[in-house]
Amino acid sequence: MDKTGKKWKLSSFESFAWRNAKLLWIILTVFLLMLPFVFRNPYFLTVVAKIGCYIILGLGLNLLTGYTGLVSLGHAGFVAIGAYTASLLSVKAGCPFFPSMLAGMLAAALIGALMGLPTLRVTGTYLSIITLGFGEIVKMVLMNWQSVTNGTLGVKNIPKPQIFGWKLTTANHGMYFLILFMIVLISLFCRSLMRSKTGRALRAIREDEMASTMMGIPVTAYKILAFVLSAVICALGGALYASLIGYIDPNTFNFDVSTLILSIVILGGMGTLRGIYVGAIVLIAFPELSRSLMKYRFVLYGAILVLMMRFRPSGILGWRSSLPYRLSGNVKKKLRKEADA
Amino acid sequence: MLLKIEDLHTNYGAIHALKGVALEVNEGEIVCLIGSNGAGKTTLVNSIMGIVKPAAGKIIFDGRDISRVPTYSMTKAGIGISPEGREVFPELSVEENLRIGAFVVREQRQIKESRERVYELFPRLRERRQQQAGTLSGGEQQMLAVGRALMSNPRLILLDEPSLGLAPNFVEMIFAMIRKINAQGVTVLLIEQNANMALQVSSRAYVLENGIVSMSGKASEIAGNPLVKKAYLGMA
Repeated sequence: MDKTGKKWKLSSFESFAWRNAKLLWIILTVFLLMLPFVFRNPYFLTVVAKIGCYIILGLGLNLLTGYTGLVSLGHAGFVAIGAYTASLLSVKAGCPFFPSMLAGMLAAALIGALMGLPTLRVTGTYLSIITLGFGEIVKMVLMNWQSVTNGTLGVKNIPKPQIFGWKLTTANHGMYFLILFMIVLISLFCRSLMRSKTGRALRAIREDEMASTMMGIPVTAYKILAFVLSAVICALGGALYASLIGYIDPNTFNFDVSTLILSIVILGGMGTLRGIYVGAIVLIAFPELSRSLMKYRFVLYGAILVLMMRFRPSGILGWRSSLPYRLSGNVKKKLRKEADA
Repeated sequence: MLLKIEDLHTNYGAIHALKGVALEVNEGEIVCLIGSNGAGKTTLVNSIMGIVKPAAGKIIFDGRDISRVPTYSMTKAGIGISPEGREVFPELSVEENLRIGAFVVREQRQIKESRERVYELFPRLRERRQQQAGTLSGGEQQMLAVGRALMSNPRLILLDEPSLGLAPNFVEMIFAMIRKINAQGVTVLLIEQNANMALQVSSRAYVLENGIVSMSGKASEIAGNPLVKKAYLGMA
């Protein structure tokens, strides 16, 4: 792969992936569709579903942190809002899963817009601290608003989603395909958003806020929009997660969850989609795989994160910029003409 | 008159950076503002753009006082800017940078036209349009910053230190481009430390010293002034 033959590089893997994109897509699709039928171990499938939920959460935070450059340390709060709203509506009011999920997303959107307001005044580290506070406040509210949330007892027996009377469970692979479908849907949404004018504006804000303002971008409005979209996706993930696990309490959504989502985004590769998939797979699968190491596994986990930041600060899959540029059609034509002459 | 600044005072905390600046730019002109480091040139640009709010005075653009208008509305009002230090978006491609420049433009056709115009002015940008802006050379980034400012079809373009840190041949090229852009009907306010080149392309000039306009007039007269020659043009 490497012409100098010295070192194997991740970028050579990426060029390989680009050249064989179609084939790899087919293989990946078949693999994902076959997965639950090939590996029938329920524990394994639960872990896979959990990875899927965290991919959704990662995609949500990525909109805010990866694309817009606002670091949130309290995204578990949005996950909790989505999960609680959806679960309480299903358990207490008997509302079906999908309307409940939409209600959770709506609630998160409203609170996300409120959370976006501090961006009027504070940026950078200060904003992160505010989001940190937000996550804690949500947890405290869930613990203490007992008449609605059941407090620390949590919500039990959260029903599984149903489509036309067909119950989606882990055992009949319904949950797996629902989560897979949601990931595909959200990925497509993120992809087209980033290629749109709105996405460009968000990325411009990440790069240089002042220059963005001078180009006519109403920066505050776009930051609030990023908060809202990010909150909505995380709430969706939360509702799915609650339904998957079947039980939630305020501690399901503590600070560890916020840092885990942020770690997924940073470790995988901020501002990329594939980075989030890999980040979630690595960070969720690792603690499960290393159960045999018992209490030492989190030491190892920490060490991996530190090493990553030392040697791959842009994330496992965040290396796109080191690739040779792909030339446009015009330039290729021009070069060919020059070569002929 | 396109831009008229009257008795403008701007403070940076306790520092009184502009102490009553008056300046006029007529439609179709190239006007330059020269001055040394710390004279208040960039403060003036920031005041026009609404990044700092002036303490007193008026900034009238196209008959409207814009001294209290938010920064993001300036492009829509018809002012384009190539900021000091260029400030292109490094991880966005050349093409995307230009599209951000046309953020306030609604019609796709007009965006295409502006882009063609920029690519014709700076063919180098067309060659590199898929490249990340951060990987361009300093001169190319300056072209991009100017091109980006043109994308919103501004009536007035503010060029803050376009020659800063560029190789001599790029400096010449940028100034040739400024003439060309002006010939296409865009009014130019050029803020420069490179007084020599700036005075050559401009029709009128202002000299800013310690927050006040110490001299103004035809560029050729300013260039001939013995004080300017000594202080800014390096001639004894």
